[in-house]
Amino acid sequence: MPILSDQDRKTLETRFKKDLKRDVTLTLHTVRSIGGLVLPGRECQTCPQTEELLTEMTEMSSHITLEIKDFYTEAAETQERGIDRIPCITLQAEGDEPSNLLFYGIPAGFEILTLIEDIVAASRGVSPLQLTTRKALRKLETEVHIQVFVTPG
Amino acid sequence: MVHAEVVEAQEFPHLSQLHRVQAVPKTIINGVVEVLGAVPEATLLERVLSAVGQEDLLEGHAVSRPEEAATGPTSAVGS
Repeated sequence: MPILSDQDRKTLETRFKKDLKRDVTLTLHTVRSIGGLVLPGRECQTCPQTEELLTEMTEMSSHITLEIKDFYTEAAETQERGIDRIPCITLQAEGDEPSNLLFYGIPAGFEILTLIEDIVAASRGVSPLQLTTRKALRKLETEVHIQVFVTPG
Repeated sequence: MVHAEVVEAQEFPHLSQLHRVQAVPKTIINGVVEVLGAVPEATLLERVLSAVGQEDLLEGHAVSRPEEAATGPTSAVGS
């Protein structure tokens, strides 16, 4: 049974059709199962649902593609990005560097809206932040690491 | 350069406990500065800049004091 309802799908299709400009690749860092089984110690409760949800989102727009990376056997990118937990979603718009955003955990409930806005912002290449904020952040001399804790709501 | 993470608090309880996340949203800047609730963009910018000692970049910003932030935490974790 699909995670997204028919109404959700219609809403998403309309939004993506209206607002997506460039292609966006979502990468899901997860654990691959073998016939539904994973090695002991590598269990990830929400990884399967996260993959299902993202797969359904790719069906809403030809601008969105999904890559699956195994956290344990395809570790080059995860190490490079400092990804230390799964599921983790990253995104990259066509022609851009990978986004500096990591999305840890399933984007369920209202959190899917956060991911949708991130996809739209990446695709359009336009930050939703105010100009004054962007100007100040461009002048940062040191790296800043922001973690926002959320729940599905 | 700003790196951002969204963390689903209930899926990663160790990380939530480390940062004493009792309600969401809760924002942690550079592992130490805590911002509770959904605050205005200017307030979050102020906290980011003060975390790295670059408050001088705030020039021209109208920033509300953290204790005057519009909204506090909106929901408890685990409820």
